[in-house]
Amino acid sequence: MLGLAIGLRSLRAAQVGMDLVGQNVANASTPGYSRRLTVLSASSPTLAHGRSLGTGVEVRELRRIHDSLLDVRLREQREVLGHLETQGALLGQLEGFFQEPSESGLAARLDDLWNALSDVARSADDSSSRDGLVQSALTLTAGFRQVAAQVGSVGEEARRGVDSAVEVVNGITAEIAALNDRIIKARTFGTTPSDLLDARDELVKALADWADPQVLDRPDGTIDVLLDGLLLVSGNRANGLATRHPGDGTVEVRIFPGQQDITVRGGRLAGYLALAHGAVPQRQADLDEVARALIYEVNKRHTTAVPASGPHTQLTAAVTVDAGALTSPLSALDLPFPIGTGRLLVNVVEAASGSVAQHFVDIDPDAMTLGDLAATLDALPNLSASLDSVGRLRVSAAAGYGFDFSRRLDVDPDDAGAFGSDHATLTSAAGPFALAAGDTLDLAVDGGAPITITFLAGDFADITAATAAEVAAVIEAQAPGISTDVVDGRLVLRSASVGAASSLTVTAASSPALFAAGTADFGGDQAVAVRLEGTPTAGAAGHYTVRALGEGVIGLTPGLEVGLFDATGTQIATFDAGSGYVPGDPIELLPGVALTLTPGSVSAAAGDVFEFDLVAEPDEADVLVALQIGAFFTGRGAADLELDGELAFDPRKVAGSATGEAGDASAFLSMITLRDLPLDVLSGRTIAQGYGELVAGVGLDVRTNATAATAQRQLLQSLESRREEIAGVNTDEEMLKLLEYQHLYQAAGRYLQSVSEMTETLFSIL
Amino acid sequence: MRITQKHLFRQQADSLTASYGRLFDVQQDLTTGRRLNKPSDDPASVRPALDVRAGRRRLEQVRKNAELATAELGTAEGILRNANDIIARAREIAVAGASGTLNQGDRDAMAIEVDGLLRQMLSLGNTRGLTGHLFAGGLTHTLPFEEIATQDGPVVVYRGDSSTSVVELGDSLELELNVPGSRIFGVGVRGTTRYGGATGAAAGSGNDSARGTDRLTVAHVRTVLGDGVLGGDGDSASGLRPGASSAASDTLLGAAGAWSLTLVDSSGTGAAGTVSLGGGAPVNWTAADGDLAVTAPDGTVVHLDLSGVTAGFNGTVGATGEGTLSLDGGLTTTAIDFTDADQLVVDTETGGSIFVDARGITRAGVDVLRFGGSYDLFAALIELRDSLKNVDGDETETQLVRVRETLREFDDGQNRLLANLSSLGARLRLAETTRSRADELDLLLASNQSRLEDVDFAEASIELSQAQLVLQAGVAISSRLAQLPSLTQLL
Repeated sequence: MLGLAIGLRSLRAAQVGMDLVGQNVANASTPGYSRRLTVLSASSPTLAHGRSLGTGVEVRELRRIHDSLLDVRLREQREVLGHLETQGALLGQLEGFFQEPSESGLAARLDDLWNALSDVARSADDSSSRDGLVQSALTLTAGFRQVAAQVGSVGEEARRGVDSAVEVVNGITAEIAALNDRIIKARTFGTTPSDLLDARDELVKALADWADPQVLDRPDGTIDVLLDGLLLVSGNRANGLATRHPGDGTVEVRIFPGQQDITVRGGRLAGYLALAHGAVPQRQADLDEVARALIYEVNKRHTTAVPASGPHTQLTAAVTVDAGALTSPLSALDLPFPIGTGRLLVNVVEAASGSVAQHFVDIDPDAMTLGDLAATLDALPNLSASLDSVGRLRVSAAAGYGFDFSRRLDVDPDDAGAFGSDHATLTSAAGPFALAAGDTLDLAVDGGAPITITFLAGDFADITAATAAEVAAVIEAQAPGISTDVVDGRLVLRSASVGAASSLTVTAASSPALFAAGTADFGGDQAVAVRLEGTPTAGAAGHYTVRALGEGVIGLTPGLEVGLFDATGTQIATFDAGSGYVPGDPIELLPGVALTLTPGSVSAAAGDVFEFDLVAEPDEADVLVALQIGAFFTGRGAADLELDGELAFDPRKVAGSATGEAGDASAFLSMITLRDLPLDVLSGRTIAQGYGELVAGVGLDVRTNATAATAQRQLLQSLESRREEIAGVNTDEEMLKLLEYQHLYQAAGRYLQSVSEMTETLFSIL
Repeated sequence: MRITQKHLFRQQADSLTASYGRLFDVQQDLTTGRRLNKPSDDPASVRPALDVRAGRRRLEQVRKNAELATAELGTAEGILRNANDIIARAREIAVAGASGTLNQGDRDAMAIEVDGLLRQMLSLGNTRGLTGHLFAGGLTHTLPFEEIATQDGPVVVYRGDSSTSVVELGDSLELELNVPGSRIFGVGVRGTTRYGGATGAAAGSGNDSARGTDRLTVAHVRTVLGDGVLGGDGDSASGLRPGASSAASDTLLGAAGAWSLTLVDSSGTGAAGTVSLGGGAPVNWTAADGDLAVTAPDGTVVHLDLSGVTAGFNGTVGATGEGTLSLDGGLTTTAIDFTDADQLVVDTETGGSIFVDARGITRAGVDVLRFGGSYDLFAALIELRDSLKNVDGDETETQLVRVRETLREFDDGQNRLLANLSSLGARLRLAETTRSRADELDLLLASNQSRLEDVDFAEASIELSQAQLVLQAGVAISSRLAQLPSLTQLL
């Protein structure tokens, strides 16, 4: 009978309705729960007695009320927030390590260094200010190392974060795959497994917190989860994520089969990766840039300066070189700074007399090896150089000597005695000389018999362009009583004895190329003592000669002059050295360079001359900075920045004199200018500004991130509200529905009662 | 809009969280007093804040340098004033000592006082400051002025150098902190060299570089009589020979033609006669005289050996004397060249040199050379003391002239001292000005720093009140929500 069936159906429908209300109310606070709606519809009518009769109500559907598009949007925004929050946490740590602005950060320690330099510049001889400088340098370098290590630790944490995020993701994808499996099975029974679907949605949402998954709904009810276009979950199978640490601070994320690297753009994983690949290496590089600028600029000034205690007796490079690289040219070595091409000036100073021998060493980084450099230095008189067991260059001076690489003035420029000597001296014009094979030169010493010197082609590389050095060698060999020298490319001949009785005469010459026949000079009772003093200005660099322009006695002869000539041989100045000059008074040859002469005879005819060099840049090739010899700072960047060990051990080796003069502190003063000096390597910023930009940049990153995260949270909140609006459970609503279904049930029950009574009546009739 | 209960409660929870967060931030600011605790608090203010702090640290150093400069320069100024007083007293003594009314005893007493002034001046010059000797240039651990003994007596030499130590006073302004001793006590413009003595040596035309007072020892080496052919540098024509002590004791110097002896053999056998030198009074001699001293009217002495006089000789014999010149008391000597108008002699102890006109040298002795304009303050005091004590045994007239002539050296020295004093004064003022400017500038920077970094307490207190209010409202709403009616209660 239809009646019963209709009644039963009503009861069932009401029951289902009430169950669903119960379900909704029970899950009102369950996260991610979408409310269910019982959708009732009239059941299919049946045909009876030629009429279509209704058969009651049936539950068409237990509908899940939710907006899947909204879910996708929620998921996407959650990815962004996960990314931002993870970044924010790590960036905040990074910022905290800099401790700025404060009196304990690197900015304050840098200023302490400049201030300590100011103290030591004032009194280079004062041990307490030297100790203060060493102390502030130690504090500064420790600070750099500490910050570098801390920045590194944030990178380390980011990488660990990637590893742990990957583990979490793998866990979630495994669960999603399992749920996919159950959903398929449930679907074969024809039901919509709402709970499973909800659970799977929650998992996908959780996944979005960690990465940026792309979800594709499959017709069979499963979902495919893709990451960077590659399958993470398909059906009941989950592919795992794995990480690889190449050791250079980066992390690679890849999907298991296929070992292909993927890029993650959202979620916490993206946040960790962004730190590990972006912010941390960038800030490390920024810090290194500042540290390297400091190392280079300070060392450039320190390596070419002289300590207050005098020239060095021994220096060891701080940079080690592998044994295998010793045969490679300098340009191929892995040095903190590159070596260029140019000359290195090495001064070897005799401690007792203060006389200086200046040597120029040519540096060609493509042709020279480290061993070549050591050998060249070792060959210099009174200097020895070698490489130790770890490839460090060590230079030492012989006993009684010292060395340095400063632009010191040669205080005793007339080593050859070619200017006003008490020996008889003859100086030729500048070489090369056009001689011919078989040319002769007859020289008479001290009135003795003339000695004939013969020049053969075999003595010269090219006899038509004979150098003064080659001619000197020939004369030395054939006339032992005459000593020879080369000054300014000229040949200088000197008699062995001194005094008015000594003489040197060219009795005959087959060619006037060297000396004209009849050229003669006599010795004197007094030698002119030539001294240079002062601190040359940087602009006065060059090679100079000073020549007598007449005959006479210094301080006596009216009109006696000496001339200053530049490297091209052009006369640039003339000075009175005769009756208008008081011997011992300074003559200012060039700004900052004074010449003093003592009385004695000079002769232009005899070619009296002396030469000297003023060097602007003693280390043109940056060799000293590259190998860190006599350096102030050692290291390649912020992580290994140290004060040179020799200075920490003995503060007296701190070098502040750029000119070698005892009281000169110009190298220290030059270091202090770094406070305000814009540097090309820092794009025109000073060291302090470079650091300031780094700190401000980190702060800005944190701030920007925090602002974006706050906005993101607000966006998420409004999206959540919208979701709640659609899919959330309003208990009052459910209560009303409960009443509705209760009525339905009661009505159905009453109906059934009636039908039952009718049936009973029928049966009682039968 | 459909609102669910869950939504209401969640929303309220979020709201309360936000309110607590805001309250916490304000509390943080107020308890630290700073709004810029970390760079992200205000990224735009980070670089200016770092710049201001750096500026203040630099000012601190400038102030320190200026204070140090004030101390050192002040001490130096005081010393120079004392030195000036000493010079003034020395001048007074020189004026009094040059007066002809005193006797040598009085002058001896004055010399003792001048020696005391010299000691005082030495101790002033060697004063130590904060970092070492003030007037030694760069060599602050070396005693700048040292009295050393030379063959000519004690002189004061400068052992320091001429370098200056420089402090930076900010903005590329550098101040010289010291005055090298050579500049204060050093020499001025050289004048003429005065020769005092009877040797006949005179100044040459060349420029002398010796300084202060020096002594030229003109020594006799040997005498040659006539043609010098006779053994022992004697004259073959007259048979006259230099005496036994001729080399050691003669003072006769000169080239041929400078001196002549008039020898008369009155006995006719070379046994006795007279001899005179340079037109002086004849001296009797006998053949027994092997070492007879004969003196010229000006005091020049020659010793003769008359044992071998040619019989009957009556005539003149030329005498030449060879000798040496020395400025360093005999350490080094130069043979006299009687044809040289500018013979070079060097004092190896001081390095000074002179050009001597040797053509007029006729006698051995010691000439006192005074190099006008080249006296530093120490040399001037030494010269005053020595001339008052008359160490060279001058005639009174000469002595008084020497005493008086020190006045000019003291004047020059005092002028230099005063010039240095005024330069020191200018630098002292600069240091003081810098210090007060630094103080002012620091105040300005401090207020900038505060503006950038510190919390505005008034503003923050208001914010705190607001945050509290918001929180209170939030909590009140929450309690109301708890009282909301629901159908579940009614059914």
